[in-house]
Amino acid sequence: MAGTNNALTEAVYYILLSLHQPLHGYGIMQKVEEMSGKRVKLAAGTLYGAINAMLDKHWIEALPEELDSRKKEYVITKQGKAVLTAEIARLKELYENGIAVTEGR
Amino acid sequence: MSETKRKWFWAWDFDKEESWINQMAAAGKVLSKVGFTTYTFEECEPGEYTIRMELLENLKDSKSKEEYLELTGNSGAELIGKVNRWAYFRKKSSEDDFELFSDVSSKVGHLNRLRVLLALIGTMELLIGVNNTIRSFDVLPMFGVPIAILLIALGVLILFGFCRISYLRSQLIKENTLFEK
Repeated sequence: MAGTNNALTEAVYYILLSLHQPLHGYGIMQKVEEMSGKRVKLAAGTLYGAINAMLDKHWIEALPEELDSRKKEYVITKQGKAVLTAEIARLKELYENGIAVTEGR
Repeated sequence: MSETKRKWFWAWDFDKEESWINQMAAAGKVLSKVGFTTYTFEECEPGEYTIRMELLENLKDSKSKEEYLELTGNSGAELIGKVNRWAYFRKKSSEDDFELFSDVSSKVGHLNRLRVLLALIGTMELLIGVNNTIRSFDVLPMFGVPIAILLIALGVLILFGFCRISYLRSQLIKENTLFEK
């Protein structure tokens, strides 16, 4: 999807943002809730589906597992960052046009 | 004190099954064990629990399955049991509604899993049924034809289920035309 005009879902957008630091599944849930001021609460099925879809697209990757930890951690990839940058540019356009029209600048 | 009930639901009526189980919970009986057509309930405070069902993804390895179940566990849900690929979860009610899917695209994705399964099984029953009809005319019409008709009827029924799930799916997508959720 990189490079197209497709909008990311809110869940995918926030998961990509949260993964600028390595996190496991539940860590992503908590981080996204915190970043969005408790507005976005990811359900387990939604999060797990998004993680798998993004792994397939190589937007995120699983870190090599450490011996003492059972939980898999994920982190954003270069490709994921490019997708996020494109999405932020799209959101900026939406935002600026919205302000320009409604505030009559 | 627990009580066991027998009840049959078609897979494409899973939403009705889920709301029946939740009605029981609202009345003070929460699902504690589940088997093929059997439901065991134990007493709870009325409305103490919310129950959600999911057709689990066909995960390649048991490790991914474990990882998913751990994630649901971390978010406060408890796995009651599984029947084939169907998982039953319950969670104590809080200010947030218990959902396994928090946006439309993942809800649609869940229905897609079920659609694929129904389309596959339904088509298979139909093909085998039609094939049996043609063959049994030559060999054993008395025996083969009734079985073939039964298979065709089952195939048609399952494809009806496919249509119901497709309808639910299109309703979800329609709701989403104004709001991205």
